[in-house]
Amino acid sequence: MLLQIKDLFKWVNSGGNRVFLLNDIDLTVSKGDFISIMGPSGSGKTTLLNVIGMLDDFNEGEYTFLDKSVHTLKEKHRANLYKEYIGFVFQSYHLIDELTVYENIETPLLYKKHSRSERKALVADMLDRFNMVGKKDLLPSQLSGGQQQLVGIARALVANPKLILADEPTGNLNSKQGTEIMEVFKTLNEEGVTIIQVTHSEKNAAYGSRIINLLDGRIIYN
Amino acid sequence: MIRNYFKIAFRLFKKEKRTTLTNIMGMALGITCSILIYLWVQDELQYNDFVKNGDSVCYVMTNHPITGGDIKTWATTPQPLKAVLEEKYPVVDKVALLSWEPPTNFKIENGFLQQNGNYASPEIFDIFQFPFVRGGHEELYNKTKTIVVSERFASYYFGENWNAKNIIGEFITTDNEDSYEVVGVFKNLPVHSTLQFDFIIPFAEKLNKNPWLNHWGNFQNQMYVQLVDGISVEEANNRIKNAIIDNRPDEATTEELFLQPFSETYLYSNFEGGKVAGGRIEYVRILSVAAILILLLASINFMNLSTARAAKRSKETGVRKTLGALKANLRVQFLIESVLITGFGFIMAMGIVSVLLPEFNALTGKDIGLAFFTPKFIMMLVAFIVLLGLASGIYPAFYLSALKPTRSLTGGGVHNKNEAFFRKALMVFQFIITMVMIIGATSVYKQVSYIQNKNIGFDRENLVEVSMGDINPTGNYQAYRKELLEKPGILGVTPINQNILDIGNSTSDPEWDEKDFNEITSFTIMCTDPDFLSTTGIRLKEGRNFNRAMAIDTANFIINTAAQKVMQMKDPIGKRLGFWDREGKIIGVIENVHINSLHVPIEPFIIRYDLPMTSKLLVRVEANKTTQAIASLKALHDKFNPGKTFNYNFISDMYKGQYKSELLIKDMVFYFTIIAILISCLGLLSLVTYTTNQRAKEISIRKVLGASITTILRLLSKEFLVLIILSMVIAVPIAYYFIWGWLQNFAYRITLSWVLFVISGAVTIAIAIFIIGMQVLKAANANPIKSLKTE
Ligand SMILES: Nc1ncnc2c1ncn2[C@@H]1O[C@H](COP(=O)(O)OP(=O)(O)OP(=O)(O)O)[C@@H](O)[C@H]1O
Ligand SMILES: [Mg+2]
Repeated sequence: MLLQIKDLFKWVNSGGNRVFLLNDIDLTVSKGDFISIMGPSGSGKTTLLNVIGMLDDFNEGEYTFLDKSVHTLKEKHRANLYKEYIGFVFQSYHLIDELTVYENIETPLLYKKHSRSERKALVADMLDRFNMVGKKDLLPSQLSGGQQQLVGIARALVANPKLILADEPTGNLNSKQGTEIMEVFKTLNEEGVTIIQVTHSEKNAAYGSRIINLLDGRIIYN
Repeated sequence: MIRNYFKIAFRLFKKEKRTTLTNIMGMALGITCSILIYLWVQDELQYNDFVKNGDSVCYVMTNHPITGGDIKTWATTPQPLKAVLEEKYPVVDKVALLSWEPPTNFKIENGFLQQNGNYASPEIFDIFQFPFVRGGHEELYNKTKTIVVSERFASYYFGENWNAKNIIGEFITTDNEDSYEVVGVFKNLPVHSTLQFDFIIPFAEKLNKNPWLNHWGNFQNQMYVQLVDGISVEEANNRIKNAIIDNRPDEATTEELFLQPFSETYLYSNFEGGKVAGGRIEYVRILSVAAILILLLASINFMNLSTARAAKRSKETGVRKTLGALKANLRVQFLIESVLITGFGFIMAMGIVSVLLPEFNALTGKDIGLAFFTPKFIMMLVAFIVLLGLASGIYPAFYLSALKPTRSLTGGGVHNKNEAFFRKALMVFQFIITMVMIIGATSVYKQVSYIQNKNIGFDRENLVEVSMGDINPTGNYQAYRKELLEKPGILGVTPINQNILDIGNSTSDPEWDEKDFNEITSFTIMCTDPDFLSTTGIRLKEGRNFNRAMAIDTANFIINTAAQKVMQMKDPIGKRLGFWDREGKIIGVIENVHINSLHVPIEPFIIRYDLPMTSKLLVRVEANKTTQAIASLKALHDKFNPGKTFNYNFISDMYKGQYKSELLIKDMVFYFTIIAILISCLGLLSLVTYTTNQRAKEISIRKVLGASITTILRLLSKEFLVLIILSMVIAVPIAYYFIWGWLQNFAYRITLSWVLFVISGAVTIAIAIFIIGMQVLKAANANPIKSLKTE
């Protein structure tokens, strides 16, 4: 078992009312799972993914990640997980504006203490894989939305994470590119990488082994 | 990794050129100020540092109790004290007397060489260990007609190549026809020494010429002592305190002694109530504090701007965290950025310092060279710069690295209340410092102008002091006077016994009918003639002037109002007054005149018609004809003093000289305040630019919705103005407190009126409004579509 969420609530207070962003979530993810989270806009998909990725906190409930309660996790341990274990793909890419494509992809490796030549090889591999070699010296602002998304994915994959948390990774890609990414995810999953993705597309969701439907912060079981 | 940080830093700097530049400039200005002040302070602290024996060399001061329980402290001692200290006080190792001496003229081939030097006990060389390059000081003990000179003196007197000649045993002659045998040449004294002389003649020679100096009552000479090893100044002080009281054989006295370590004589030269009461050290302190405050201003600029930029940086922070960065990694990154900014500021500052140094030297009268920049000093500076960078970056670094990933990724949460409060607090703090400096500078300026322009009771412009030379005040002076007054440009002349601005001799001898003999009242005395009042322009309040035709007037006196007050006379004219073997009457009263410095109150003052005592001449020259007048004076001087050097001094220059430190501090405080204002304005400018940029979208939407530019201006400047006014409210009492303290140094001072504070505040607010207005107008006038599109 990779992670387990039990009776989790997350809310915000708005004008004296409690607005639930996540409502009584129960979720168990095992190593090697490929999960797709679906639901209408505003249903809490990103919020759930952020909580799973420990980027956001919650108000009530239990969350254990690799048998450790997330509550008790130290900053150092968490940073270590990000470094060694988890790769994020963000809905709005979140590239570092001041860095080139090459440098953006390289950044996770910097925190991992790879040697320079190793980094070079790994980044070159990624650039190759996503057909971005020609764009490697451009800044994010010089790329299209789809290209930025590809860089974001490359950055998430370069450090060989064991868990990929992807928020609409293909949202800005054309269907051919989207299929390619899904194929990449499928291969990774077959190699044992756990994947949790948020998607609006039934087709992409079908790549996964399990689908979780969200509505108003609740998981809908059918 | 580190390379990556540098890369990011440089790209950021390039992207935000203006912000970066203002940051660097602010830092550069701050660092420039502190380097300059540091150099000045070091130079000041260096004075009298050269003595090997450190605190065991002391200057002997005497405390003279006067009326009303006050005590006057002078660096003068009676001559017999030397032997007493040597024989009866084992804590004292060596004692040296040193005369107070005006410049002396030595005869050279075709004219005269004027040099500063003293009559001194040869022990002066044992105490200070000034090294000799030729001969030594031993002969000074054995023969009185000997002299030791400095290398400088030797090269003036014997020529540049004196070294090649054997000058030991040569004779040097003064313009008084005294000849002295050269027995040694010593190295020029260190520049940073309060003790300065280019020749020394044995003190015994002075005694031979002035046997009256042997009297216990004559406090005429300076004295230096060296304490026995291991004796603290404090202990020695306790032992010798009563050396005069206990040993004066002829009469009971009240003068106490105290020792001041030689190393402190430069910085601590003011005395109050018989104790050290500061001096230049106050200016060292004021400027050191100013340096720290100015640096603080610069680093607050940096902190403010970095935290304001947090919104922009927070996304990067969040992303890096999800990529595995530790808080520590992020802190290092932000600290590198701030150290880089300070580093650039430092490089710029070094450039500015090297350009400004000559100006700075001219301003401060120092000779600080680039030689100061030794490798060690540079290393220290670099360490300091890194520290400054760390100090300025530490808050932003911790603040930014602590942001929660989601908050920073969604761009929310950075407008956190605490942070906004902190930034506002910093800005208020900055403006408080600036305003205190502005108020301070204005007050210092006003006080110093007050001193310069104060009507001190007589017209000090166009008044010249010349030495009397061989003119005999009771003999050929009348002939000299007659001839001088016929020359063009000369309006009046009067003989005097001491400098009119610095009447030092005071006495408690005067006796009058109702004198209370239990009280010691001291009077300063001026010996002069009937022309004194007309020459100086001092006016009589009542009574009459001395009359040349009345022989009896030499026993009569004119007093000032302060003297009338201490003598408690309602109607002083005709009252009996007597002292120094003259018994007469008060014939006139003058207004209180500021004879001495404005640092001290006006003292009781008595004018005597006493020609034999006079030794100088005070001459009133016609305005615009000074050159002609000086020429006339020189011509007559040469006629009456053949072969003597002609010296003259303008009283107004001497007056300025009295307030040298104040004039200096006025200039320094002025310039440093300007810099402080600049730094704060830079900070305000970039902060305002920043917030208006941030609110560009809001401004555009408001404009589209029909808001006028004035409404927008009001909306955006309100927040800043409230803060500035708050700073002012806090700054005023702080400034008042410090200025009030400083003004206590002056017996005559400006009154601190609220107008000064209001004007200082108004100026600050005006500057602030100007800066805010400019930026806000720019934002308000911008085409709304532009900013709406980019969002
Ligand atoms: N900090 C917050 N404060 C208040 N409401 C929030 C906050 N964060 C998210 N929400 C609300 O929570 C709901 C879920 O947001 P979330 O971003 O998870 O939706 P989503 O399912 O990812 O939608 P989309 O498909 O559009 O990305 C939304 O209604 C959003 O307005
Ligand atoms: Mg979403």
